[in-house]
Amino acid sequence: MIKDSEPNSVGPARDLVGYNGKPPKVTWPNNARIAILLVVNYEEGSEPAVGDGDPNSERALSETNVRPWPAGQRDLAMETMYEYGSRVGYWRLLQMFDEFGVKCTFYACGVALERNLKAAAEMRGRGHDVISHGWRWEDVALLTREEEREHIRLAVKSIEATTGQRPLGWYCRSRPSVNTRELVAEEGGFLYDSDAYNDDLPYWTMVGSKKHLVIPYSLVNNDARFGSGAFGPPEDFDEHLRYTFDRLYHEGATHPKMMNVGLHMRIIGHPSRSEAVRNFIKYAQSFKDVWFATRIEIAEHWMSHHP
Amino acid sequence: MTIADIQGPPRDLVGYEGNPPKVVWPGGARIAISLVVNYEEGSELSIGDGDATREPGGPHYFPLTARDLGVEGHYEYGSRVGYWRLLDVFDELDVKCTFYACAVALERNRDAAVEMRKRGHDVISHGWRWENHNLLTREEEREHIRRAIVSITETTGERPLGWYCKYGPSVHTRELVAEEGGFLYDSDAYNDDLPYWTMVGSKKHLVIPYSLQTNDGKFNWDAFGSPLDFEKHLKANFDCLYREGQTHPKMMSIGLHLRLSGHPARAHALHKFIAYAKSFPGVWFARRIDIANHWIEHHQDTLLPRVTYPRITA
Repeated sequence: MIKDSEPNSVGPARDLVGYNGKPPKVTWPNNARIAILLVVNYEEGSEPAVGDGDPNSERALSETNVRPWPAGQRDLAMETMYEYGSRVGYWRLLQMFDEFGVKCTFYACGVALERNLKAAAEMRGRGHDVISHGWRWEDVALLTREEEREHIRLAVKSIEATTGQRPLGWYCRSRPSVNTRELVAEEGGFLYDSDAYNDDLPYWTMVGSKKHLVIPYSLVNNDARFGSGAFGPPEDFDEHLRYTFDRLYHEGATHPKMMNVGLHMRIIGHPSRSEAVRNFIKYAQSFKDVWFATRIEIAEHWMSHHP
Repeated sequence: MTIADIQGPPRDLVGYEGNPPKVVWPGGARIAISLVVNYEEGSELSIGDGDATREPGGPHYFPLTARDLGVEGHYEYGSRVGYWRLLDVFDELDVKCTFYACAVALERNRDAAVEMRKRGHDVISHGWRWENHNLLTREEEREHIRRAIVSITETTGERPLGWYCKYGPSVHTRELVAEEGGFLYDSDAYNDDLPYWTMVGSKKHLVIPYSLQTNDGKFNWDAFGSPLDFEKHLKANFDCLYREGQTHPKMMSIGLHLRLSGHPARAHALHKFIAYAKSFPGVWFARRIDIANHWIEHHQDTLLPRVTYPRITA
């Protein structure tokens, strides 16, 4: 048992101002007007599960609305809904990305990959990017600072073992703790984190005396909204993504931006909803100057052009 | 607690690993569509049946410990009106469905029960009552499975050959279903686009996965609003699987409820989807018994290996 002796950080300072209406003039490679970041969350198998000794079964992001479930009982319906993601959805998405020649970034939970080694090997094998989405799919705000540091270490070690390279980016489940950014910076091997929803462009911030890169993510352009019922049929997502694209492409004539698309294998990997992503990729590819970028490409571009 | 202490089927996050079997459906169909109608109305939680709480639904301020005649009425619409409308839709379009039938519900609507097999539909057991199996003891569950079989045999003329729990099984269900000995398969899984074999003890056991995704249950919690939401959802699902079916035919389960899709608006959406699917060649509307028989005859070799499921180690 780790002793909670180290005080929590007060957390990153809020910044309600950001680029202040004057974002930098970004020049993406080949003068692209927009950078599209497809993100696939690989979580299935690392979510809270009674079989793993957790007190409760996972309740979030499935095909049903949240229903109460007795503590200490396996929810086999929920478990198999998650399994659909890693058994079927994963492969459907990989095939689609290959078909359209686009690369994505996997937000991977360490334990989930340990339980599907062939899938883990395939990620980098097919040219995709892999960052750490935590050791398990867990709420790190409920961990002590020491526990969180240890879980970050475990995640790095695990993902390095299953995918062949250490992760260079970090993104927590839903939200970071007040300690996360400091611990990620302290670990030393990460180029950036994505624990922010507050911009259309990357930005630098200070962690102590260290410059730290943030590549914001999005829960708006995100299939998680199917899980809450905010999106109904696949067309809802398709339309949402096209409108995001249309606006950013318009703005990109003078100020190129970044567009995150958040995906979950157990949601978007179903035949119906995968059609929305397929239609969107086709749509975006029908325009000139569109860059489907992995997060590592964005990070490297930002570091070399926008330090 | 260790993994070995965990009751119930082991998890399988791997499945066919991106290499599903090359299925040849009858007639070389590119897709098998399994229409499933849940027949539950009359077997849900009910104060009048001595339950401590009623079926949830209706305004939140109203106690669960009192009869809610509004909710009861919504359910009754399903068996009184929705059922017959769906039967007509299927007859009009000449397709057969599988009823997931709760035994007590059929006991309370005998004409409906008789009509199922008479019109060529398939009937499997959806439980003695529409109840949460995870709340029963192993002994109670065994007894409820037995009662369900006796009752459905009596009301429909044949014993059920498939099993599907309300929402999800208990950790005992699959063992008890296999132990009973008369079932060909269960559908207590949401984890694949194809059937697969698994082991229950030393016995090979067939699983025909079901879906809460292509399911009208989403109307119930407002994930779907307009009937077109459901229709579009089904069409998109079909389009994807039909395309994949060119090389790897799959299965598409469609979950329906009498009290939801039995309403005119949603029945119309269902009608339109079925007509859409039927406009393509190589589409097989299959009952679950047809799929089970096909799988038993042609795909004995799809036993998924027992996966290694590493314990979490720090």
